[in-house]
Amino acid sequence: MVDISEQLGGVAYDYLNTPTGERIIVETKGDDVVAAGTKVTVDFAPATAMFFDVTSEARLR
Amino acid sequence: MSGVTLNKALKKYGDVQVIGVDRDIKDGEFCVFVGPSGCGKSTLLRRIAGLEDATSGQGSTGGRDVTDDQVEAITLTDKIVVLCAGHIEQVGSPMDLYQNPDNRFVAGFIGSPSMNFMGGVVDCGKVRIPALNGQVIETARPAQGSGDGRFTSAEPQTPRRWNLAHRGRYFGTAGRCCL
Repeated sequence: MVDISEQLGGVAYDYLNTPTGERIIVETKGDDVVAAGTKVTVDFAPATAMFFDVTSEARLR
Repeated sequence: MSGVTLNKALKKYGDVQVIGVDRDIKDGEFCVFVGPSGCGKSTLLRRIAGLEDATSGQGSTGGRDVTDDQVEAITLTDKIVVLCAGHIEQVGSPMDLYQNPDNRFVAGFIGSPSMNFMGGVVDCGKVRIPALNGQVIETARPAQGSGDGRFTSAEPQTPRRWNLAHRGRYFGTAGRCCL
């Protein structure tokens, strides 16, 4: 769900809240403004994900 | 000869060590130091400029220009040194740091908006991401560990400041975003 949309001129940063409370930031280009409170679907490219060890914070993949 | 050599340059104020750096910068190389507030950038530059004495170690320099404009610097630079708490986290070209961060700190520090981090759960050798409605990510080898919190996943498809990558990320249609 869109929490805040930060309009920066050429782009906007939209701050999304996930069901777990973790926040995702996405960049929006163009003039379309997605209103706060809008539910959005997130597409995710699993092959490009990186993994980090929680304790050491070293990259695992 | 106008390179910079920092040989275990250590700076302490009292018992507090603020920098401990070992690094060569070649003649003509455009090297930028980045890091969060208080990480030791200014102290290191003051040391290089001769305005601060090192507590121990040696430094020599022929002198090169420096800048505090990170956007400009990182766009032009050959090499970036990422500092955190007075220590070097990673050294590399802008693209190295962007595409192959060694650790979570570098991954989160380089680029804007920042890389997104989500907790992962190892589940039958795969990594499940609760924040993405439990989406499962396969790994080349079975993920090790069990229970919560073994992994943190980061989503790297974030468009970065400084145009280091062109992977766009935008709302394709209202209400749907592509990471």
